Amino acid sequence: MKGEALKGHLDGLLLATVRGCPRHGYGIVEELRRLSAGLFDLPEGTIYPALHRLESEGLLASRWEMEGNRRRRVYVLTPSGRAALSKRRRAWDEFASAVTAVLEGKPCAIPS
Amino acid sequence: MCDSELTAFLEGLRVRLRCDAARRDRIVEEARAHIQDACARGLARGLSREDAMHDALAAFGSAEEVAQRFAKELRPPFFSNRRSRHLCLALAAQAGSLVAVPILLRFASQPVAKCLISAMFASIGAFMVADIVQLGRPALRRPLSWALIPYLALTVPFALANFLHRSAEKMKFDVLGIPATSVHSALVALFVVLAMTTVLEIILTRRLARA
Repeated sequence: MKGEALKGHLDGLLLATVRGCPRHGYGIVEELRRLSAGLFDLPEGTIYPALHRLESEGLLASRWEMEGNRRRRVYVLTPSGRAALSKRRRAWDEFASAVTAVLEGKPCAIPS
Repeated sequence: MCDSELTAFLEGLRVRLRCDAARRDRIVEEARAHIQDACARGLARGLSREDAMHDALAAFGSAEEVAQRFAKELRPPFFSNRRSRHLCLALAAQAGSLVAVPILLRFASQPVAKCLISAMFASIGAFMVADIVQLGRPALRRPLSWALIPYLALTVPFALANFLHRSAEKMKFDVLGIPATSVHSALVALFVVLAMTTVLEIILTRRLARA
């Protein structure tokens, strides 16, 4: 799935990948690929602009860390980011339920 | 070969990024670490070093694409709240400087000191406004690093204007039909309009850094 298809969902996906533990950019890409079984295959460099924006919005924080002899920028979820992720998760559940309901021809269980 | 390919890519990325130097350095370092990680993964899969680097660079995306995405993500819309707020504050500071800087200049007894104060404030202030327009926020490092050029360029004519002003006062004499005192006043007004914004620059930059 290319970047265009992920438009509107990338922020939530990035926040989710650092929910459990801090990760650097390459680790985030690998986690996205692993969890989506390779479906989310976007140009890797394009996650960095989104990471920087999320950091400037206060949803992520970052710091340099040494791993072996290599310096990496590691991203962590902030309390605001955690709240934003929960909100996005609820919105996605509602949206997915509604789409599923329409596709299956059954009324949506989640009230709007 | 591989290192030169990576270096060329990172240089291409660096020149295409339109942001302040600190962020540019950070982006390039993050890209370097990412591509090296991806290359190491390729080597672990049994690829040759050249193929691993080629794949890593291809997966990262072109420098132009990444730079364009950064420009889009980091640059707020021209009439965004943040840019408008900073511009309003900068204009308010400039208006305040119309009152404050002449008072400050009265305490500087030497004309050269007056030139230095005005030119320094004006050049840094001008860059601050340019940064707000370009980046949507003030950036301290850029104006400070570039301030030297306009600082020198403005100091010389300003010192000349002061010299003419004093000469005109002594000799009761006009320059090219324009009273030297008017030249002096016009230059002072020009520089004073942008003065005092340095203070705002520092305050806003620190506030943004804390945020």
